[in-house]
Amino acid sequence: MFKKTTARILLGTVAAAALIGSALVPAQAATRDTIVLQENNFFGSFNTTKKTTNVVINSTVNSLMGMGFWYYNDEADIVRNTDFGTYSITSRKPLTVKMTVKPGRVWSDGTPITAVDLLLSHVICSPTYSKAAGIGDPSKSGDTAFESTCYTGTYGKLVTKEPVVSGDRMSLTLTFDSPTPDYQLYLPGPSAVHGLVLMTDGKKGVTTNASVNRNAKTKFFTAYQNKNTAYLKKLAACWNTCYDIAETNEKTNNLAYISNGGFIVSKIVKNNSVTLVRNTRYNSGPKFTGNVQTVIIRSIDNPTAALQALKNKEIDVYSGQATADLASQLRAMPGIRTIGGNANAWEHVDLRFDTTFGEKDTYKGVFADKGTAAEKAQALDLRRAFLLAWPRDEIVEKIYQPINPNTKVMNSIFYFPEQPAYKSVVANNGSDYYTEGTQAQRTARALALVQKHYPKASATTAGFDVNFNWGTPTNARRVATIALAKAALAKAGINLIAPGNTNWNAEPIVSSSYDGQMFAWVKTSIQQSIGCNGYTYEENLTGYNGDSVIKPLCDPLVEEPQENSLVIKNLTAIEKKMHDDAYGLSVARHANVVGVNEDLDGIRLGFYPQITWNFWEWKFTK
Amino acid sequence: MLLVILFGSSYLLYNLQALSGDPLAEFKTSRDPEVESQIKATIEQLRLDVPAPLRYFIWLRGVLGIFIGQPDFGKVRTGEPVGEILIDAIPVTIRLVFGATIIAILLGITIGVVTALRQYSRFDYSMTFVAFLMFSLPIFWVAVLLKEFMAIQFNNFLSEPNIPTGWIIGIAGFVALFFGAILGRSRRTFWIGFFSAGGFTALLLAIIDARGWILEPGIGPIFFAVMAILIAFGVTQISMGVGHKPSLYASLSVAVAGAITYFPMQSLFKRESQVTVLLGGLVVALVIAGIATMIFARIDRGPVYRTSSITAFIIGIIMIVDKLMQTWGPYVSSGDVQYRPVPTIGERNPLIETTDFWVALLDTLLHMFLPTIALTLIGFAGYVRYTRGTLLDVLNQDYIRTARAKGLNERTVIMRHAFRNTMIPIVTLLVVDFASVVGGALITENVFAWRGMGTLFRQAIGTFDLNLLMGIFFVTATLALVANLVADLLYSALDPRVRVGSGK
Amino acid sequence: MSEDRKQSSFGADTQSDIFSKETEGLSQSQIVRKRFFQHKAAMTSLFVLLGIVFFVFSAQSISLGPVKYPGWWKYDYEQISDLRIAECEGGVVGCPSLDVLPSFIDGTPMQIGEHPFGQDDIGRDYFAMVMRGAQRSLLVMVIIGTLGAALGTVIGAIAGFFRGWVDAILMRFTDFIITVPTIVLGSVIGYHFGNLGAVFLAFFLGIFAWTGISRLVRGEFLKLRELEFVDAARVAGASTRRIIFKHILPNAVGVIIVSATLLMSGAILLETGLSYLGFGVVPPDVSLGLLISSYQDAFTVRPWLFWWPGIFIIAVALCVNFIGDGLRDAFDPRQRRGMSRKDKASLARGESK
Repeated sequence: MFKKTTARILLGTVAAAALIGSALVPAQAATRDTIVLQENNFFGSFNTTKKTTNVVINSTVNSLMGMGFWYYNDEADIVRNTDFGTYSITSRKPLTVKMTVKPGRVWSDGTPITAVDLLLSHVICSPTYSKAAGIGDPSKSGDTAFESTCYTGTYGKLVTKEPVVSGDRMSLTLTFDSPTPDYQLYLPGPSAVHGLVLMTDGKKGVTTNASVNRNAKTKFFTAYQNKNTAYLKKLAACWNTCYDIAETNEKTNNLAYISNGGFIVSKIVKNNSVTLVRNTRYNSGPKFTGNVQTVIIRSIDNPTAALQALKNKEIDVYSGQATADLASQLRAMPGIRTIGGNANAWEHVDLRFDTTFGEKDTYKGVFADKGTAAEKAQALDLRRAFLLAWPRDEIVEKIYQPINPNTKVMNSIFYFPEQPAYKSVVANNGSDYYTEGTQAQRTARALALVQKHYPKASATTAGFDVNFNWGTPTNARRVATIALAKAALAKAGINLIAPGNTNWNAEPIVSSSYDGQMFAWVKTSIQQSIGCNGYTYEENLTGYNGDSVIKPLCDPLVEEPQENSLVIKNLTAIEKKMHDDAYGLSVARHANVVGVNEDLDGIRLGFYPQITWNFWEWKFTK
Repeated sequence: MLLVILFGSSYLLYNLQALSGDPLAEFKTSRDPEVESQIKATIEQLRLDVPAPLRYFIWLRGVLGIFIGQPDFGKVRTGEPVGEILIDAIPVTIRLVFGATIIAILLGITIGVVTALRQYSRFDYSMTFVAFLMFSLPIFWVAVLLKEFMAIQFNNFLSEPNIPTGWIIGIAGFVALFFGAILGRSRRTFWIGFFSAGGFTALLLAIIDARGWILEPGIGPIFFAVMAILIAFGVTQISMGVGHKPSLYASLSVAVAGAITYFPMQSLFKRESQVTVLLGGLVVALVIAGIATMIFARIDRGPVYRTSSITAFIIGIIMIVDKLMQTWGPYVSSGDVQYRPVPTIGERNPLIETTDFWVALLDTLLHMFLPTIALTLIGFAGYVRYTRGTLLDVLNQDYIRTARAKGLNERTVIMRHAFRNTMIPIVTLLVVDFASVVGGALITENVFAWRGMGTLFRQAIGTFDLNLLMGIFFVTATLALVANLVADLLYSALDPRVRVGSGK
Repeated sequence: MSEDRKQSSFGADTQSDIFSKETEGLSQSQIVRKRFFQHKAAMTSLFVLLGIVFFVFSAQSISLGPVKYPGWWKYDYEQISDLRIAECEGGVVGCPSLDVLPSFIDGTPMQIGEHPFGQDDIGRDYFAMVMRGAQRSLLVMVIIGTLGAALGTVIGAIAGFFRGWVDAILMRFTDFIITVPTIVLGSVIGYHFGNLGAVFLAFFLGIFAWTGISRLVRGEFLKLRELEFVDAARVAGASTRRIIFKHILPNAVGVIIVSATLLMSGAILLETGLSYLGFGVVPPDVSLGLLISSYQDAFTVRPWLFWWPGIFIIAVALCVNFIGDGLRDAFDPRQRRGMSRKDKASLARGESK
């Protein structure tokens, strides 16, 4: 009976298989060509310049769909994208940059890319133009027709003159008001203005009709030249809403996602995934050397879930948060290789000097740098004692190295240990005061400094209290750090009061009720002026005023591009001053670990964006 | 009255939430030169210039638009209207919770009844232990374990689907113990139950293993017919007893009809509009059950019809399962699945682009698999305990004694007298359970990367999004209120002794 | 209602005793006690739970005002010691030193060792942390349970007994609280007041946790107040207070106990869930929920961080539920008498008397 039955079953299933075969493609020996990435949030808009839509997944999708004049590589260097175009400085005073789009570059609908496509961000971000055209003042939010964070406002301050479009409309010349060493960061990228114009005019659907697209582009250029307020406002209205697309359906207008990058969106499932396929007309960047045809980005915001999804081969790349346990799981996971190591953020401890610029309550704590010379000297001693006793070695060993065994204590304020200049900076920046000897010896020195002013203090009796601000208790890494620090500081006679605050974000970091704080800065761009952006009075969060020394050192750095040796020399001097004043210490660079499917080659951690920067190299070997 | 409550609690929650965090918090640590203007814009967007106790009424005015058909729940901070977001999220959460609740109820009530009938037996103690154990597990923990063993390991197993002999023995032993304990009133019945269940399972697993059934499953017409007949007997036995000829004949003819329609249905399943086919099939099945009842029963047709229609329904379900099994093979081996069919995250496989009803259904069911198991494991304990307790209460009531004194057999006493009265409090429990979906979905959605109300709630708390939070609250509060009202009504309707005060 | 009042209401009051024949010569409390003592699972659980409570609370130092008890375990939960590295396999740190297997099985002798439950990332003793966490979790559980049960009983009793407008107002108030999901409320409370500590959090949650019990108690009261013995008491001139507390309440105690125990085990899970979402007990304090949610990733790498708090959660929840089960059976007025073996057997056969 079983034979008969099984024969029937087989017959039935063969029939069924034949039927369903039409719906599903069976697995083949051929290599895979679909890569599945993971992001925390879900896709909402192709316009990432609005404050509300400036979300990582939106940027990731955009990074696959757009190429500009340069990109960051995995060494954090700016690489000129000569496949798209060239740019060069034509004059130093004033700084003038000429950008030229390479002829023949096209959008995904075949429309040629020209300098006109570079103008849109200028229209939006330039206060001068906005005011002149009657579409509002970007420096006053809520006042402009275009919603945009606009290069966080810097572009508008740097560029007040109108750019010049060349006769053949392939070049744009930008004049900066002041010397701008990091001018490359502010070069406008291309946006498909014909898409915006067509959507504004109520058109639906991408057309390959060249004249329609050309006319649309001309319409924008004319409106720009004539400062056609009414039409620019219409464009703005569309700019603010037309790009917000959370899912693709029959109502979706694909004019919103014209691409010049390697991929183009083909499907968005609301709150779940974005599917991108190769842009067949892609010629604005390096040629594909890999074989990935389709990219899917899935939204998974729970790190454990994402990790297990990676293990189950539902995703190919895990790039979420890194904890020691996640990292060792990733390293032990079969079929997965790990890449990465260093993130672009670093943890640091800052101490308070005075009332922060703009803060109402006066700072009167133990570290206050005011009053008589004796009082100032006491505060300096106490700050030094605090920093000496802060157990950086132990913190790095117990908290950072389990994630990345190569993480070291960071002894420079501005340079990562991996940077070439680090060694020479550290040798001369005064950090040896805080690194000399063992931690036990440093703690003894700290205790001596404390006892100078609080004779009763000892390793078991606290001399004074320090109110410390460090963040929400949900951040396990910081919780552990504070626990270590509290124990270590106690040995130097310092009582750390740091309960954490579930409302940390709501508590102003500048509040005068704290004597110190610990948090992380993120480097998202490479700037030689980095040392001057946060450490002169009016700009820092500690009320520190080292302007007499720091400002002259900074002035040449913020003015124009300098030789690297000068940059290092001046930043080292700034660090020296800050260390001498016991401003604070860096602790260590954050680590991250990315797990990648073993069958996938070519994923390298970039600077920004971290995963998608070299999509053309992604390759499945199986 | 309901509206007053809604008003009161929403007012409370609004102000509580407004107190609980600062929507401008993110700007406080911002180094952005634009921060001043961003703060200004946010204040304008969220109307933070109006103090919360008054701001509530701005929100309320929008919501009251529901009476003129244009409710305005405001916008979330990313700019989308709250109403639209909720409409997307509600079905996801319902899909997540609904299946699990149904299974938890069925399983919980069944085990609850058995444990009550076998009070203080080993089965009772071990089931109580298991139920409480499950009840005590945090869901994110259950999820991690389920994903590891039921998804990742199972998928690894599928790449070479050979069941090791040790496993066959283990599984069969477990099944044997379980059924032995249920059936065993004496040593003899225990061992009969033990060996028949264990032997059957072992044989089944051996055949499955030998035939490669795991990758190419299916029931096939002959097994299907056998199963249909067995189901007819089973359902009749539980409801009326196989001694009741009209019921037995009606169910059997339904089963035969089901077996005959097996082949026609296979071709119907290939049609475009499967929803119509399924609904049509349901109607036809019920009609056949009706006709069979008319033929075989002259009096007391109600129970007979119930028996035969339940038989028809179960057979229909098996037919659908069979169809899904046929879909399984091609699904599993497709390039989009690559022999890893049990997913750990999401609601569907983004790689699969198909319009085939059965492939999509199978995909959806597979994605519901783990979350449903997780929620069921945790949820069914309550039902076991309540069913057991209530049934024990009921069995001690006088009317049960009367029923037994009348000479009714045990099955009739349990199924028709005791069980029905047990359902009264269970129904109220059930109604309230459905109302608390968001609480249940909150962590589950996060762990399984589903995007429903729970996700929205986390988002609302995390970003201090008052409008979103109030929108969620509006849904849950309405659900809770309606559920409570229904529970109240059911309570007094089912138990005539209860007089509910006329306070309204 | 205070706790002792509830106790005294179980006192010998033979007039209202509805068990007549089978329980001759025994007061209600004696019957209940007898039945409970005979409930094996419940008694075992009671001893285990008491054992856990004693073990856990004596392990770490407690200070009540000037009195300070040092705790028998050598480490404090905040104390940082050197990490065990050399003894651990596979490059992990802080593995547990506890070995319950004698040396002839696994080749190493049985020992408790320096850190029986292992250590966390920075070298804190995990045994001390679990003890402290269990203290917090038990405290949270008891506070939520008693507060919820007490409030729920009073509100439910009043509503069910007086009916009419009192019932209407109280039940609408209950609905009002029910409409706000507990976990939502917990998040908001935890977010805002998390810093104030576990006790405060539990207290706040308890204030909102009574709704389920009040509905059940009300239902019981609606049913019971219609029964003959209540009429009899009323005719005999008993005061309203006396009827509620001496006559009806003892009959509703079963329901109250069961839901209170469910509420308690639910409270542990609620706390766990809130900690998972980041709204529960706040570091540097610890709770079992916080430990288990912060080490969920350690599952395959350092499983002891995950299992120990988990085992305590499960043990406590199981014990509480079994005790509740026993109490329910003991208080059930319709169960005839203390169960003898023969009775159990006959009941197991589904026979009636």
